[in-house]
Amino acid sequence: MNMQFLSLKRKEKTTLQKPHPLGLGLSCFILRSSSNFISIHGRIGQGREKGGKKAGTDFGTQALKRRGKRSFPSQITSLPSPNPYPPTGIGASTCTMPGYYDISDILMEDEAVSVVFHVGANGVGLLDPGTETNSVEKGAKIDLPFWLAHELCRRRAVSITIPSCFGQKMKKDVQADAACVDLGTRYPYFYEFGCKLFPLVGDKSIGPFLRHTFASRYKEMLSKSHTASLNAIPKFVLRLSKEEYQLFEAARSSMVEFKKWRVRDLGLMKATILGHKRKTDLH
Amino acid sequence: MAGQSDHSLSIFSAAEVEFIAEDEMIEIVPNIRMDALNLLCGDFGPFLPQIPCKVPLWLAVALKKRGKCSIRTPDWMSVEKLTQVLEAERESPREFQPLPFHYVEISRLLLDHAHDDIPEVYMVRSLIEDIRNVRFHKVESGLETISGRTYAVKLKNLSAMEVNLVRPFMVRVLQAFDKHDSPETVQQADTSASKRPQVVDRGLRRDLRPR
Repeated sequence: MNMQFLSLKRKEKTTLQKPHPLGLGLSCFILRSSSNFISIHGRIGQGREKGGKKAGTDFGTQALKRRGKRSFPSQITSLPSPNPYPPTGIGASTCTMPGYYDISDILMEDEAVSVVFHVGANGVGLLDPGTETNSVEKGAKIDLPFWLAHELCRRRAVSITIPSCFGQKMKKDVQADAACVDLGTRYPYFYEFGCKLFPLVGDKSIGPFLRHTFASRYKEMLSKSHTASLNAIPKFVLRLSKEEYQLFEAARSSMVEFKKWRVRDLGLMKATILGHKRKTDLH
Repeated sequence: MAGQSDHSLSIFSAAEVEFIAEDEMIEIVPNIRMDALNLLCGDFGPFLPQIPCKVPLWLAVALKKRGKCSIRTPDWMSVEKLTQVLEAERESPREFQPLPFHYVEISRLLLDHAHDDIPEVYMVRSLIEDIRNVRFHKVESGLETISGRTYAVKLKNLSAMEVNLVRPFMVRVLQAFDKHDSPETVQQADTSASKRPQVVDRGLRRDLRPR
């Protein structure tokens, strides 16, 4: 069946476009959000590459604008259009309807998941780096960005396999010591990703696992965030996921502001006053 | 709420809380003669020298800055009362002592502008600092006990500035817990053997003080 792709305008990244360094005349298809995140790239005709240069590293510095003539055969299927007036405020970041314009949401959906195709797909061979024809076989295992996998899963074209961040190894790590798991560098969007993935994959244990992780990490680390020292960043901050980091920032910024307010107009006078020894008489 | 500086975080800045605190009434002893002031918030009687009268705090501070009055310390700001409060705070690990709602702001304004009117100003200042530290420490240790079951957190006798300090963090934490919790409650209803008690059993609120 022909793969039907929507022109997903939301994901259009309008950045600079450089000509392909290998000069094969076949440009590459890159989905890229920022330099920090893994970019999914595929190349057509991998075997025909000249020079042993690994093009993957080049792609990390380029971004491609998706040109109109290379868009896939687009028969627009009917999808409910996203709400053009998303709810603003803190309540917008719920599992069901996150803000459409929310940047961190967009970034989060760029994470790669491994999917298994239920149907063959024509014309989208560059999703699969190893294919010769311009198509994807049924039953192939491919890495897709989450937003794409999400849509395809809704149409029952693929099935998503649970990524490693919710696998057994992670569960063991969390059980051992949740506060030491380094979500900041490995999976900064751990919780949001889990929330989104949870209804798509048949595994019901992800939800309680997320909650348990969050609860134990909160207890260890976030509850101390108010009095975290203001100049030096405590070490655990680097291990927080984005969501946890926002909580930490909220506490810290309100503390900083309060402290600034307290010493306003006083300058150095405050310190000397507090240095006075206080004689306590309890009677 | 209308007075906030940052709607998305729903916090007041510290200066805004101070602004609200300045509406509290306080007693002054003017040293000039002045006619009655008819203001929107009320009428403040003709000021006669050495006759004490009650005015809002902002007016008192303004008059004090111009040297037209001297401020009489409120009762709760005496050394004995503060020492009592401090000892009581240290003894009860989960309760907060009743203090005026804006005690932080009022004490700061008075200590800044009217420190010559307060007897034993250094003692008072350090006592208030201690009280604030002990209370905040209690708030923090209470924060650690928030778990997934918490619907609401009740903190009795907390003052305005302290509430403002923890508000963004606590609101977001409760929301985060709620986000992780609610879909699963629905899911878990399907499973036959559910170890966690269902919604009905949950306590209505999690008190940070003994019930």
